[in-house]
Amino acid sequence: MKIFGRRKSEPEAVDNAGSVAVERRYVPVKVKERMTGRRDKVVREAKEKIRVETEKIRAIPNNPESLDHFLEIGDYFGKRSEEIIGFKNKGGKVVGTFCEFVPKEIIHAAGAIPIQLSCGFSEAIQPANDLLSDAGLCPLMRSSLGTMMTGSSTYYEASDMMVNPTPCDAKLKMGEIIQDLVPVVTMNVPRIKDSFSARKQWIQEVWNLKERVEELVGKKISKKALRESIETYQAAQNAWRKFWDVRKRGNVIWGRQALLVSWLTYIDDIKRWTKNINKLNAELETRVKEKNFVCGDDTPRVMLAGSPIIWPNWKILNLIEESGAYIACDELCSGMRVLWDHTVVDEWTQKGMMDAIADKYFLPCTCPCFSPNLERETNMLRRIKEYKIDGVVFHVLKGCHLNSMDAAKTSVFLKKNDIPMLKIESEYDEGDREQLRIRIEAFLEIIQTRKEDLPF
Amino acid sequence: MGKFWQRISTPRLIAQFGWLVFANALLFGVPSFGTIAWTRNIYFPDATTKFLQNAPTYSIVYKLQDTLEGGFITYYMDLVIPLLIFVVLILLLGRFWCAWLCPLGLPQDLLTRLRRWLGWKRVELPPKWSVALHQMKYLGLFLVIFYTLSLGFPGLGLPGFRTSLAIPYEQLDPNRAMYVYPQIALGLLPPNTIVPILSLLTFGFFLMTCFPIRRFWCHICPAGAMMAPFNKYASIHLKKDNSKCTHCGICARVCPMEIRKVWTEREKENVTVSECVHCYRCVEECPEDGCLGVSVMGKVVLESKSPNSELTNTKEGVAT
Ligand code: SF4
Ligand code: SF4
Ligand code: SF4
Ligand code: SF4
Ligand code: SF4
Repeated sequence: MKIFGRRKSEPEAVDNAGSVAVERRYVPVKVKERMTGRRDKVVREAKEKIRVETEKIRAIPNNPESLDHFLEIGDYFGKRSEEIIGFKNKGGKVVGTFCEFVPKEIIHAAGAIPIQLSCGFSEAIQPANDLLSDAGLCPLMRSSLGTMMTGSSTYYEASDMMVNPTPCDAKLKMGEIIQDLVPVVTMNVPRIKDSFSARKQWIQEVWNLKERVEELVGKKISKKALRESIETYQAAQNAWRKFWDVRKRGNVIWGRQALLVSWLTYIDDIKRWTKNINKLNAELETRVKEKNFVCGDDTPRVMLAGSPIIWPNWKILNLIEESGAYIACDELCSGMRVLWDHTVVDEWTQKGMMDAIADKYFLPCTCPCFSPNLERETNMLRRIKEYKIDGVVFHVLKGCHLNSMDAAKTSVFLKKNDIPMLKIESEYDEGDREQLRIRIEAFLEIIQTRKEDLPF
Repeated sequence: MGKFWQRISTPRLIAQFGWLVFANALLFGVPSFGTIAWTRNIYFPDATTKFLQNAPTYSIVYKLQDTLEGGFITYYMDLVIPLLIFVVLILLLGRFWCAWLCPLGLPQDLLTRLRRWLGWKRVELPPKWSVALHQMKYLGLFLVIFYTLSLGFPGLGLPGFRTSLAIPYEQLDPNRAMYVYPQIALGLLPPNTIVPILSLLTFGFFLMTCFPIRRFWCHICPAGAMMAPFNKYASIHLKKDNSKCTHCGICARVCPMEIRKVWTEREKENVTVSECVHCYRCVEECPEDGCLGVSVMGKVVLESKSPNSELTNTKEGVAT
């Protein structure tokens, strides 16, 4: 036991997992050039898609004014891109992230910009299909990979390093491929989390990330910087909880608007995001007072669960809400969960802060990659009660086995609690839209009838 | 969370100081108070305050070993009332004593505060270690009781120890070394009061361990061991609303007694375990509204709050 051994970087042995691409296995050296020809098409489609979806949101009657900022940032090729390019030209570093697991506090503390790369471009799937020759894999992963290979997103192009947690097979193997193109920090997510060793391993992974980020920016992350970064994120977390408090008190903002706001936590500058959501909160609060609601109480209230929904791939959200339901809450890692959990620091020492960060991203996480994942069950039941949910739509991206299997389990415990559930599987493209619409409408009818049948 | 005046740790610190200064040292330490008979009969569970000659807050651990000279019958009869008082207090308060009043708990908390202020990281006890330490305190208690009993039974032929080693725990108690000198300085004790060498050593051990490790002494304290078995059944206990818990592990991380049960529990409402010292750090830091709480006789007096809740007025303008 070292009682006075301090001031040492911690823990002593930082492994360098994922620091080297052993050999270029997947992507031929020339792949980038070969793929760049397809860039224009992907970019064109993506821009068009973002434009259409933005228009759709703008066209919703009674749009909150403060949403404008988010719609502006939602344009991947607009303001935020320019900012990032400007930042890079000034010598700043950009770190791309996948999944909810990456501790953005650390990247932020190093003075680098963390930016989420998980991708919603439907057109980018084709190039990835050509490489993998398997169309049955998770579209989120294929889209990210395709975007990466064709170089059609500024965020990907700007990333000096990518952080890739490995909760599922798709992400694990995608990390291996992109290692050929850019330095990657792989974070090993222990998938059975209720043991002491699992927590220790995850903390180690977070220290490892810190070391790699420090290497990238060329300076140590000071205690002060880390603390400031944590406090910045705490402010964002507070604002985010407030947002959900307001949503609980009245139907003041549609789910498709709320999910855009949540997704942008990963994209926008976190301080600016916090400022703007505080504005939005204030505006929504007055709406609650004025009883200026977007829909009545008789609207079926739906909870959206399952695979992440990534802007601008808003198909499912539009289908549900255009069919007359209100997405009152969700449990997506791209939705309510983005900033829900709090980084509570016990001791403001380097170690205390790192422990707090690691715990925050790991222990309360309800990602389906964990087993037995009772947290997800508790969380869903709690939200169902809090937001008076009438039915759950469980959305599974085709090829996402984790969510697909969790859906089966979920339907069982929801049945026990007498909550109807619909499982839908979808791809990124528009091919399944009509079929999905029919199923969703039928489901909504069921909950509507149930709602009217209730004895009170 | 919240500002310091919103934290339960603040009144706790004040209570600890208040008890030490007013109750122990000043009020009851003054000789005239000590002569009031009924105050002499209040026995508290702690292993302390023998150093206050007149103080009524007299330890039951000492009481066990104290009046051996009195012979078998008087000795054990003398124990009945103190033990009864003790049991009633425990059933009412549990180990509330430990975090709020114990004069040996306060210095441990202060050492932790000092270390934090210096920015030194703490030494973490691996779960196995803290469990082992928790068990060890029962061994300490067993030794105290065993020793007392064997001296008390005249047939065992150990009367010699009654004079040479009457109260061995007094020799070991870090309190002696910690408080006797200030007491002498304050004129509450005669200047020739002897501090046992062993006590100085244990006090050194106390400093060495409690500085890097939170509440290390409480892990092994025999007085704690006396209270521990009753803790769960006390009228004051920790309660948890399992439907609100996100299993974020924060309560386990902030707990000075390294208790993991509050975090891992998924079914029961009462999450008080025998090691819990009622410091309510977990309630203070749990980030979910109403997830953890302190219940006194079935009434919730303190609840965890979401860190944003001071910004929100949830009562206002409720829809539906
Ligand atoms: S569900 Fe889990 S693995 Fe999938 S994107 Fe979300 S955090 Fe990552
Ligand atoms: S959607 Fe499912 S398969 Fe795809 S990356 Fe996320 S967890 Fe993995
Ligand atoms: S366990 Fe700690 S607080 Fe409780 S009596 Fe013992 S020393 Fe005091
Ligand atoms: S701090 Fe609260 S929410 Fe977190 S594990 Fe403990 S009881 Fe559960
Ligand atoms: S369980 Fe809570 S109240 Fe009990 S000792 Fe631990 S932090 Fe304090």
